[in-house]
Amino acid sequence: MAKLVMLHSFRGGTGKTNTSANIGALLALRGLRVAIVDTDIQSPGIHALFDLDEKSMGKTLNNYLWGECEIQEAVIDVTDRLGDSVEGKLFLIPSSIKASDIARVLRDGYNATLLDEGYKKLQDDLELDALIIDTHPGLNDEILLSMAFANTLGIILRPDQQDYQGTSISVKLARNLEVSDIVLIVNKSPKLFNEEMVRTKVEEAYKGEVVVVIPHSEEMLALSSAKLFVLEYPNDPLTGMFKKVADRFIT
Amino acid sequence: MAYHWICRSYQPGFPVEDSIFMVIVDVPYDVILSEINALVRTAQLATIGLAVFVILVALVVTRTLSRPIGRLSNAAQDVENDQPFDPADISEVTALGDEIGYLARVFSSMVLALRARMAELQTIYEIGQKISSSVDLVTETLSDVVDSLGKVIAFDAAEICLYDDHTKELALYVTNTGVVSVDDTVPKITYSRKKDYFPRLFAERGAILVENVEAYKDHKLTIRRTWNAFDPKSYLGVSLRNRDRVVGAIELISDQVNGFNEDNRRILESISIQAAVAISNAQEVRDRERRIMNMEIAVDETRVDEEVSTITNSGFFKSLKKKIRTRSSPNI
Repeated sequence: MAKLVMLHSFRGGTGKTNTSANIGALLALRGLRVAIVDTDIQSPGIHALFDLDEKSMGKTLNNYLWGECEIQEAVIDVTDRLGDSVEGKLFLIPSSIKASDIARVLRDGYNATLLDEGYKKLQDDLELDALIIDTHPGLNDEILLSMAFANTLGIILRPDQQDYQGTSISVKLARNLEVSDIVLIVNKSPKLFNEEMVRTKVEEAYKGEVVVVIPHSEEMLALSSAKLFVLEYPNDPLTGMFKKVADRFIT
Repeated sequence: MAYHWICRSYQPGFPVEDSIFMVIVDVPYDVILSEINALVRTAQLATIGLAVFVILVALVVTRTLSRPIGRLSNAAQDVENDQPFDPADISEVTALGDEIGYLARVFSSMVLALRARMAELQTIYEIGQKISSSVDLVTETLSDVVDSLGKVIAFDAAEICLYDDHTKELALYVTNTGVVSVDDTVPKITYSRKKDYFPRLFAERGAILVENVEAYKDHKLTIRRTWNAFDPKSYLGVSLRNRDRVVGAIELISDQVNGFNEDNRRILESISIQAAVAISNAQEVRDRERRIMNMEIAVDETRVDEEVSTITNSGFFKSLKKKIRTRSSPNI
């Protein structure tokens, strides 16, 4: 039975996409069969981490949601990006990066309810151990839908006043939807902040578990979302933190 | 010398031989010119002597006149070279009753005033340097301000209050009597900004000098202050402003009427400008440290509940909830 893990944040720029891709890669490196669905249809970005461009993408999640293809047709195997001898599998279901497709999404919308069915098909066809959903920031129908069926909801926030209010809304809605496992990931924490203090404060504020407090990383920033951090810096403490998150998600 | 006397008779119209007689004296030129030459030499010597005398007198007069100017000039040179200046050094000149004496007295006063102003500026600069480099609001910055003021202004008691925009009150942070706790967590004594001289301090950018508190009718000191034991007779205060915002006030009192003067007022105004910036910086550092220490997570629960309610009451959300309930397994 695949585990549906959703990574969400109320505001943009929290690092959802990088976290999704790195955790997906770590799980695949452990021998698991993992798929990442980029549901950030309005502003897709995860393709860059796997060195994909418009030409290398065929069908996308957009085509599935517009009823133009099956979701399996949008799957790209990106396991080879992780190295030569990877036991697991990593699949990516990207959203279209064509400007015309993005404009169409914004203009015509799409049938969000197809997502639930699509997740099931992916699990069956790809025999997944984990399905990671990378979402658009904020709250809309497809996010609520993904949230409702997620086994684990990872809410990412920065220690920033702008994030606190929105995170509180996300947590309350997730509890209302009876999401059984809600965890918090504090990302881009200033190095001035004491990790334990941040963890305690966030846990007190949201009455939830903080898996990890990830400090702001210049190295991560320098990668410019073009490469996977865990592959570039396998021995960095940050990679250890991603492993901790991956452990928590899969257990 | 031999004169040749020739005596002959002479009568006009008669032959010489027929004249009674005639005296002819033949005097040599040398005899006649010797006396003239003597007179000339005497005149020349007298002229030379007079010239020498005039020159000597001129020299003496010039020397007498230029000596005080020279002393004044030397004193000016010393001032220019930042050498110590003592009015006694030109006392001979200042004692003169003429224009040079007057000039010397003006010069002496001017140098003393200038030196005093430069010393004042140097003190203000040093105070500014000291308080600007302090970052701890209470134990460093505010205490430094009070200590520094004590070096340049004679006062009996001082209070520094910081203004709280939210409560509209002034909180007492530092006094020179040390009666206020430096512990920032201890609740502060607060004053209304409508009492004492605070309304004037808030209204005016410059310092307020009240030479006689009892005679001052516009405002009265009515609040119980830490300085009450001194029975204030005169007052000097200034508001602390940073970017046109009042951040606090420095107040000094004396138990003497006319305890402060215009120089004190000017010094306080100069220091207050730097103090306001230093205090604002220290406040910013303190607030930042507090945020870092506390990492305050401010959530407006009312707004959160409103937004959650809007979403949960939507048709999509209700149908989603229904779908969840009918689903047999939470897993895919």
